[in-house]
Amino acid sequence: MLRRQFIKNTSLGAAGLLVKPNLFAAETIFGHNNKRYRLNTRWSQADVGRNPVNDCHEMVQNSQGNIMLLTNEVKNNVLVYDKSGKLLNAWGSEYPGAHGFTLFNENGTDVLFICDNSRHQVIKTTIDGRVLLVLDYPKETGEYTKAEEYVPTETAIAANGDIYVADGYGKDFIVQYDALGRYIRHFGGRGTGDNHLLNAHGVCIDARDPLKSTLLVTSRQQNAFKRYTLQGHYIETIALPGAWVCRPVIKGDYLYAAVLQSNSNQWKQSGFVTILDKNNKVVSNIGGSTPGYTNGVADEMYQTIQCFSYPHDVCIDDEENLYVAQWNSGKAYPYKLSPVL
Amino acid sequence: MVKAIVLFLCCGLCVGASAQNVFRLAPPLLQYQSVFFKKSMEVYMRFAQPGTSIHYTVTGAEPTEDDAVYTTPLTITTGLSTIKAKAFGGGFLPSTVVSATFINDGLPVIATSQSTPHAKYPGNGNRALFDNAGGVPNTRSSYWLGYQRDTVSVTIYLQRKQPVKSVLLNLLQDHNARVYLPQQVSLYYFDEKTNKFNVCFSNSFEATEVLPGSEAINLVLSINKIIKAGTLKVIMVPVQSLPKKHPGKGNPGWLFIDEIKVY
Repeated sequence: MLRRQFIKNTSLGAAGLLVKPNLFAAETIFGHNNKRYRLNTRWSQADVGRNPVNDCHEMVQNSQGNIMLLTNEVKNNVLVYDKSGKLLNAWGSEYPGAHGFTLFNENGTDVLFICDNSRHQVIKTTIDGRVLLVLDYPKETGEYTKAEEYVPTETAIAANGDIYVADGYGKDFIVQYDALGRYIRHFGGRGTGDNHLLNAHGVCIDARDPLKSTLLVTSRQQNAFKRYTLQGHYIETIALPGAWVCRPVIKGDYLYAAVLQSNSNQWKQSGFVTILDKNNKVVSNIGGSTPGYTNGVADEMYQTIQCFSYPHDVCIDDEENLYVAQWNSGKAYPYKLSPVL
Repeated sequence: MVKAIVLFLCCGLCVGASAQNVFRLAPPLLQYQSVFFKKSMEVYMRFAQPGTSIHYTVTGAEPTEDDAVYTTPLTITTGLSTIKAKAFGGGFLPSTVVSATFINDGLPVIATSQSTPHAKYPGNGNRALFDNAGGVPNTRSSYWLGYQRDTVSVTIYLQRKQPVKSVLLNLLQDHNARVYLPQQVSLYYFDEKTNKFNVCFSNSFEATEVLPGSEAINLVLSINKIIKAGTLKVIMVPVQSLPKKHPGKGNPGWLFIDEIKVY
């Protein structure tokens, strides 16, 4: 039945083509409102034999405008692309649990922070991979008895250089250090309070209000972001029903996040990408349900188009293109999405 | 099929479109409180994707575009009703099928005693097998009682002695997670005259396959004779050795059970 239907549709399409070719060539546009995109699944020009990837965890754009990818493939933990997808450089073989990838401009120089799940460490490097600082498991907190309990997933660096580490696969604490790696405090952790976290998978500095920077933290299994002051005081929860959000990424007025999967369809490659405006309102879901609100509460969100498997991070470049890295998705290279103007 | 695809690709190229992927729709959402219901259950379907519609059946057949379009919630009143739904349209390939089977309440049960489940999967308290909650096909759901042992025994005490026609077991099948249906199931009823449990159903299953996905399965143990019972006992033997095709071959499998109904 399906086969016959498919052939029928195809021949109809072909017939229609003779009359009005554009009908058939219509491109799929993803997303909603003013955040709509065309998808290119073949952006990467890397040679799979020479520069393979495993899980593609996170991506950033550096000051040169190039796109950097972190993967847990130890043949090349970091791939450096230009915006067109041409591979420029590859480095790193010592990060078997490469997961979190944050770029910080330190007095005019790009530095990177890598969270390694397997090494239970955070490693600060130069832009080409020279190690500058290693943060071991935070004994100082009194919460950990051994390195294995600490599985950092993400870092965020404040304007003053303070380092915030999210222990998203460990005990869900946010551990704050100064720029030199000296422990300041920790907060979050598991529990039943609003200030607690469950799968604190990502963290970022929200400086959209220039007078009042805050910290946004993912609570992925609670399908939410939680906002704290830079001193760790809980402010609010941004509920995103149905969405297993990975790290929050802020560009301009908007917050972007890869959604690993839909709560309603777990462990079945049901991910999408969500975009929130500066009022924390969902304005677009790429590959996901049309955003809606009922009595001020976001409607449950879910995948509607199977264009991604398990998106894990989204990077927004200086031209508003998106790059999506995916976890456990058949060793797929990142996809690129270009805005529809 | 191959021809059709070739034709399709050629057409795309003829008009100079960039090589495009044709994406599949994700399955629509079926939303309900529980698959277990007393009198009725409301079922909602959701799929917020412009240009698409949800088609569904209640017959167990795979939905086609000729089947009913979902517009308002359905009310389920018949036991073992299966809703199957699928999203179509928008220029995408149709979704896979999403389905749910709804189970009506059975004869009142006053108590049960069962083998102690594995500490990792204790279920939801003493009445977990009769609480009308759950039926979610996911090993992480807290409703399931998980067992990995020689035999699992459940004794069921009905409110009074009465005719019993069948017993329904709501079980999980998730082969990748080593969760299989039991390799053997027997049902007994207590006969006060002889002071013994008499067998009234017995069946064996062989675990040979490793099927994808996760599914709640309702096993109905139909009693072929007319019996009156106040106490019943279900004995289940979990798979003792995973099949050759399974990566964990030779190791014991798991038995996951959520609910039992007596009719």
